[in-house]
Amino acid sequence: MPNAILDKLDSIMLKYRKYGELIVATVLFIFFSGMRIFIGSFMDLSIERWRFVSPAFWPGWVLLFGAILSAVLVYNAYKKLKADQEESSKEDLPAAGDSDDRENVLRDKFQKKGKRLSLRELEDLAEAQTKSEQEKPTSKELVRMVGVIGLVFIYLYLIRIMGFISSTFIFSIFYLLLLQERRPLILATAPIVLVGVIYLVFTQLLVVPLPRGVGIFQLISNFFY
Amino acid sequence: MLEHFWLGLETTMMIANLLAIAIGVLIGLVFGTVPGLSGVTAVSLLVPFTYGMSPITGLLLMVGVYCAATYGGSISAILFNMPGDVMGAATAIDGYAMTVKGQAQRALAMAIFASFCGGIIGTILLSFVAPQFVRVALTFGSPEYFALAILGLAVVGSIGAKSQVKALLGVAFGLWLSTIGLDPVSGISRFTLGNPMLQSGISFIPAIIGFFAFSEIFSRFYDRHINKEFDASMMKKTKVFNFPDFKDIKNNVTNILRSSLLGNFTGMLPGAGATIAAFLGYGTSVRFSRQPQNYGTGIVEGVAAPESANNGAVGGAMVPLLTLGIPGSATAAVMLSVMILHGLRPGPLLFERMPELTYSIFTGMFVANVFMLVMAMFFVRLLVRLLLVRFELLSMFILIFCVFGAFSIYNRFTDVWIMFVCGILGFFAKKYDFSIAAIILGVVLGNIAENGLINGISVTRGDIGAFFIRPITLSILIIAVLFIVSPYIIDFIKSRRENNAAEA
Repeated sequence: MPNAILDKLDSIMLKYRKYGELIVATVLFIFFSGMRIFIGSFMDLSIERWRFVSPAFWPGWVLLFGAILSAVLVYNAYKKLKADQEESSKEDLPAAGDSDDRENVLRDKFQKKGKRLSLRELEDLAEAQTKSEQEKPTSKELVRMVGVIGLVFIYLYLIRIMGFISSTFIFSIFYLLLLQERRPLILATAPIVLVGVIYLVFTQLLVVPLPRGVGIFQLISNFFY
Repeated sequence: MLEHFWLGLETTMMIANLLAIAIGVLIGLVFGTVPGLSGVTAVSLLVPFTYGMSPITGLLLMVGVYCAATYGGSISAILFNMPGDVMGAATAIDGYAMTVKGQAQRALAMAIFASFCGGIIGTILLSFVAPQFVRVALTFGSPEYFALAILGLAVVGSIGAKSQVKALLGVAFGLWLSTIGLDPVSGISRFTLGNPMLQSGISFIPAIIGFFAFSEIFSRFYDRHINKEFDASMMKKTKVFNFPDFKDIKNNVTNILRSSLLGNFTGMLPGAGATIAAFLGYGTSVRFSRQPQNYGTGIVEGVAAPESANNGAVGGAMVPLLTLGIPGSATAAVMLSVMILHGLRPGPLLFERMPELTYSIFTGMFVANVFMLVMAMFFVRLLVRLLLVRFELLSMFILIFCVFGAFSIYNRFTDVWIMFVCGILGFFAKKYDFSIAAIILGVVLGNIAENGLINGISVTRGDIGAFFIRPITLSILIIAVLFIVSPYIIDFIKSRRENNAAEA
């Protein structure tokens, strides 16, 4: 993928990463409360067929429970966001020269209740934190993951049309290519091994009718099983 | 009762069952060791294989997997600080520290030994507690089942969760997922949006495969390093037939005994499984030790405690499963569905009518632990080699296997789509620290809870008050509420104490 798009994705991810918790909490809140309020449109409550409790009784309470909890989560996420924003304004550590200041800032950030940590340990913690932030996924990983999900989705859709053998064969080749596997030996043998193992296990051992597909693919599949 | 044990032993010693246990232990070791695969995934994928077997053989296969996978996670936890299974996370704390100090072999030896002891003690306790508990179980009616399901959800929503709100939210989401489909009482379809695929609801085995296996694969691809840099020389240095030193064993006798018992009782609580047991065992061991500050630096006690606790929990989890039909963990839930698929209903009647099943599970667990000890010692090098396989290839096999595994359970393609969607949901859950075990237990226990509620209300003729006044129901529900609010109460008491100390 061209580097310009990757870089733009990187900057977007960096900017909006801290809103992740809040977004998730809000989505959950909208989901639970929406379902609860409009529960009538998800089930046919017009016909009175029940004796003691309606079928919406239990789901209604569950959704209410979820709505209350996600409201609490939204509040917590918002509070944390505000606290993090305030903290990032006093982010920069004074240089190693002003040892007292540096130690106080580090102690503020990392000192937990209990053992009093030495300066060396505090610095180790700070270093670990910066390293873990550098290890956060970048746009390259995002693209790769979305690619895998998309490929699997297409594959699942195509199994019914193309039958098991053809679709799995093609899927495995594209999958390995997507993951930048270029060794021709692996690209040639892995799909065959995969299809063979699955074929043996599922049709011979378990006697499960694997999908055959339509049209010409059905002919191909019938040739094998 | 002794003749029942003989019956169980006879049944277990049949060649088919012994073979099933052995294969189960082997599969459990492999799936437990490889990060990304877990015991839950293994038992879920094995469900279609059990169709052709007798129910006893199928259950013994899964018992083997369950016992071995609980140990398997410790190998990569100790060597590479990456537990193969969630239950091995507590072992990684001291285990990896020991590897860093150069004592990896000592840690590995203690891990298998402690797991074996935990499993044996857990099995012995199981065989004595379960038949006694059956008598109590006879008095359980629908309201009690509802209360127990709620207790299980309260436990999973409070213990061991980083954020209780998130864990309870996971529970709520799982409960909602369980309501999708046809309502069992009135026949109205709920939340299906007219889609005929969803009419039978979210079958939970594909959901389990999706939430555990698929989401793990997606999460790994979102990570910067897919193939963690494993040290290949570790494989050569791994000793075969590694037994711990006598001194180590002697120092840890009380530790192992206490952790196994604690793990067993934790497992008996619905909702608490091997993972929570491991952390509880570790924490209790710290509290009871004479030098608590050494924990975390790499001492053998820190490996013995969680490993014996989590294997003890396996035996404990079988108690509510066999006596009440309430699964305490995702793996137990899959075993429950195997029983149901074979037409068996766990509960007091199962103990009455089919003692050969229940007692052969007891003796089978005993045999499984022995097999696990022997096989783990033999194959530990092979298992370490498994960790070096490149994830791209491994994930491809896992993906396809999961797709068709989910398909072959009910021969429906809907289950594959359910698995896919659950995989995406599980990815987000993992990313934002929602407990997946909570979601799964919500799906599993949701049906039990709703059935108990609806049936119970029918019995009390719509009077919800009479429903909750029943003594056992009330006490279980109170315990459930206590679980949920206890973290807040403990924090409150602690802050009060600190304030008082500051003022004084």
